Amino acid sequence: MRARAHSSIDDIGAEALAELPTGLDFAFGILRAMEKTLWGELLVRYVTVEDEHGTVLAFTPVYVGSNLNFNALLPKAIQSGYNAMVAGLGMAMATRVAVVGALISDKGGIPMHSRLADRSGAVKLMLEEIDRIAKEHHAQLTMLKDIHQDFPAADRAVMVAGGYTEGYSLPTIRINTDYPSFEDYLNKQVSKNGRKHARKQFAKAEGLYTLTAHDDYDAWIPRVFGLHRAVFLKAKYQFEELPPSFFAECAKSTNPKTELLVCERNDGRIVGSMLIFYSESEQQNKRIGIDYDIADSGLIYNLLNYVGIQRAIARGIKTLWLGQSSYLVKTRMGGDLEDQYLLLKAHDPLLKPTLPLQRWWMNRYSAASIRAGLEQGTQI
Amino acid sequence: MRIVLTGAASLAGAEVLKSLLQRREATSIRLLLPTDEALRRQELHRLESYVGLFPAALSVFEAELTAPRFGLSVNAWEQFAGSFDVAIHCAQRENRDHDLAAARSANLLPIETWIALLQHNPALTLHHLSTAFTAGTRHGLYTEFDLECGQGFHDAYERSKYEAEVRLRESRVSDRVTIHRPSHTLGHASTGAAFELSGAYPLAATLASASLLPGDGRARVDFVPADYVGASIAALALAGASGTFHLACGWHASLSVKSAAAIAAGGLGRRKGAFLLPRIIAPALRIAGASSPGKLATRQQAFANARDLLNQGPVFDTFLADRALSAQGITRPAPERWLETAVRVAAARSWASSENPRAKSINVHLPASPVPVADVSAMNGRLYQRIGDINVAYHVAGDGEPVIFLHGVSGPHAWDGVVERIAVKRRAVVIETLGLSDTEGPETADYGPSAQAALVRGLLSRLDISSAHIIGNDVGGVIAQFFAVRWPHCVKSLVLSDCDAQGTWPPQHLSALTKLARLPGGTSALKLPIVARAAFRELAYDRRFLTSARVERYRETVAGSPEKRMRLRQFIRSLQKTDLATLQHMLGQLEVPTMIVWGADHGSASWARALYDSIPGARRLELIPFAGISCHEERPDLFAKSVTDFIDDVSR
Repeated sequence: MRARAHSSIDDIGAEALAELPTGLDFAFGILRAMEKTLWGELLVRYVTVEDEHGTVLAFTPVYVGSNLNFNALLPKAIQSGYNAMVAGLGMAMATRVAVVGALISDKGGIPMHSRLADRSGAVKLMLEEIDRIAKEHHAQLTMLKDIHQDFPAADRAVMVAGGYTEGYSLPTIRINTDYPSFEDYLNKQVSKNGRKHARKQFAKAEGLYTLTAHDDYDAWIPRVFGLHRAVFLKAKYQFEELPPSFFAECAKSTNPKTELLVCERNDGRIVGSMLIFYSESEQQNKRIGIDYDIADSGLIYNLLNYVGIQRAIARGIKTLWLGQSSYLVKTRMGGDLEDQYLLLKAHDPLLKPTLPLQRWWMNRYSAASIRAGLEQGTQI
Repeated sequence: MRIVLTGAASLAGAEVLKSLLQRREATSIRLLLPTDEALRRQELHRLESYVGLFPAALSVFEAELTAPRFGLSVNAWEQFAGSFDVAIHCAQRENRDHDLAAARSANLLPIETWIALLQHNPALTLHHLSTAFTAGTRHGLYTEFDLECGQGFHDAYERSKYEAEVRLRESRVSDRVTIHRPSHTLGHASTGAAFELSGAYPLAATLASASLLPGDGRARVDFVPADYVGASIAALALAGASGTFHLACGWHASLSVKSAAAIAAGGLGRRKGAFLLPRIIAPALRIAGASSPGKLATRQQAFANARDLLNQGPVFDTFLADRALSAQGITRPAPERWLETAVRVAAARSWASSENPRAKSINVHLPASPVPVADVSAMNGRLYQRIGDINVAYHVAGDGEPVIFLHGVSGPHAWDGVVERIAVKRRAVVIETLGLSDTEGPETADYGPSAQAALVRGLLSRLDISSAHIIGNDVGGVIAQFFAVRWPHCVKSLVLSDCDAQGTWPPQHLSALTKLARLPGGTSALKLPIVARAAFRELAYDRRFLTSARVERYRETVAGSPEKRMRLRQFIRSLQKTDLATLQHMLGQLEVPTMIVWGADHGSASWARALYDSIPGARRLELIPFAGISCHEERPDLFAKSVTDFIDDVSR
């Protein structure tokens, strides 16, 4: 086995990744769309572990740059202080971070070939290559992003042994959509209150809003992107900033398939939009756009998600991922919180002592803590 | 398609007009120009020189953009509303200062009238020239879909343009409004030509000429050529495009500040670009500027602009513009290919000066002087007339209609370059200001500007001059104002230049001299070259203009002997006692034809507009690019040309 770094996903090719369990998060089309629309100082490398025949056995992207919002989960005071420091002293003072994993993933890990026998050996090789890339591009911090609870603990242990500090990241939300109909889903997956709420939402929308799905949605982007920006700018945790060209690149993708759900008011005003990625087995309600200038913005949010769920069920998709935010609403829709981990390695001696503190701070993001908070009526 | 265009006589507006004239779809083009005839004629003349002879399809409409209904009667307004299909509103106030009232007046008031017009005629569409810098202090992506994103603003320009966009978006006609947001706009990509050196030229000048700047080398600075901006706006307007368009480079195509500084410096023949330091050090840089003049761009406005604009936070996304314009075959040239040319051409046009060693070293040839030059060797002979107990020194050159020159701290010889051009057809009389020259007076004399105006009056009587054109710069401009309000019948016309009567008093640029005058023997310290340089450093825009010889001349003129230093002290003290309230009130009644000429890079350039607005007789306002308080000495050719045109107009 040997590790290699590639500067473009096209160098690896979709076929080489076909044997890996990339899921939607590491799907060729999404990573390609990200690569083509990177902005700022951000660059991407793809680390692979290959056998002697060149077969890709493991794979992950590594993004390096200073315009990654790496401290979004830390206290506001730290974020403000950091921003003020960069504004005053310049971008040379910005922390260069290497983020390992798909930038917009809902569920992370390292896709590995099912035939790979020496998983820990592959992880070690990969970590060495990641360290080399981090050093080459002067990264001060490496983050293994959103390692999902299903990723083997033994592999995570290799990462910790490799010098990484493990903490919680925001949990992801999974919904079981393995039902013959939406009605079945409502009856079996959703609580009584949730069911009542969902039906109420559809009743309120009756005759007022129409939702349509579009496979070929390139021409819709100028009409809906403003809504997506509004949601991004309002979000509590502002992670990756996606330009409109990302949507345009996604519209071209066939692996995974994508579609745009558009919500139109009966006067013709476009009031909501949702970008959906899907494969045969899973779906992600990926990016939502809402017109906050109308009173029904909450209703639009719910409608888009419910119709997204309807479409997954209609396609026979068994699992739907709802992202890493708005836990209260999404658990009401029948979502389950699943833990994810963030593994940090400081290359800058000034950052090293802060890692235990970060780990302590991020304990609040465990699924158990968030569930407990929801029961007590508090949200992160 | 019938087009109405405002702000044609501007950097971007002229390019829009040029593009419209080349396109058949524009069947008629109507320019909205100022109601002031002299100003309108001047703008038309400049436009025709730039875009070529006007075709029959082009007509002119007089309008006052900041007035309700553009100053038109109800009937005329109704007719106007039905006379076009597309309006392109390029008129704007671009000054990057903090005069929010002036910025709102120029950038917001016309918007209200456009909204009313669109409501009146549902067939109309409006294309509004905004700026990508409505992003203000935002850090991160700024897309064509964004406007309100929690940003602050660096200056009144950014805020007023943002407010104009908000007003348009919230109006009921928003679906018929298209917003064009260019980034820093400079001249033509292939030739470097520009209608005028406004837009981003002050920033480019600072970037090109300074050795040390508060900027972030890794941040981006987003320059686009004016012809791209003009062609894009014209094409999108004629194609009926709607939405918001970023006419910018975005992250990948724009330059890092470090690269831009190096390329811009190359345009001036310099081998190295400015050394960039973090903005947090900006206050310290300013202080250091006092002890190392010539090394720092410490002009207040230029410095502040550099601090804000060379630490650009937003990254402009150009998704919609790229789509719409690529369909039209309009592409954006990369700035590394044209920035140096733009700077070089601008430098040749306005930065070069006979005493600028850099200008010689890069072998820049000035265009032929627009005004012939007279032999003014007679100027070297100083004459005296005793008025009361004052022995007034003055110089005379040429014959004909008298033109009186009054000077400030830069001394009487700062007028030499202008006088040699004016004296070709007229009699130039340079009167030396008491306290700043060889005009002799006792310690007990009144050195105040009002008393000095009386001296001017006395001297003119002695010289049998009943009326004259009066031109004053700096403190000389204040004396000229006192003269004009007291004896308006003696003034054929008045030209006021960088005379700080509206803002801080005594003027900011005299603060160093004022401090010295307060200390016992303080003015003697001017003998030290470093002190002299610090005292006079505010006079010029380009620090290299302040050669040692020039500083020594300034020093010798105002403080070359114990008597001169005594008079300087008395003069400074008189300024502190001068009450300007009465003067400002009386200027409001001054009907004398007046022109305001100001160094565009003088920190108080906004006062020029205030002065222009406060004098009923004010007809023209000219800004001389890349010049400071001593704009008459830095750019004598431009100054003399403006003055000659104005005096010729008044005399006709």
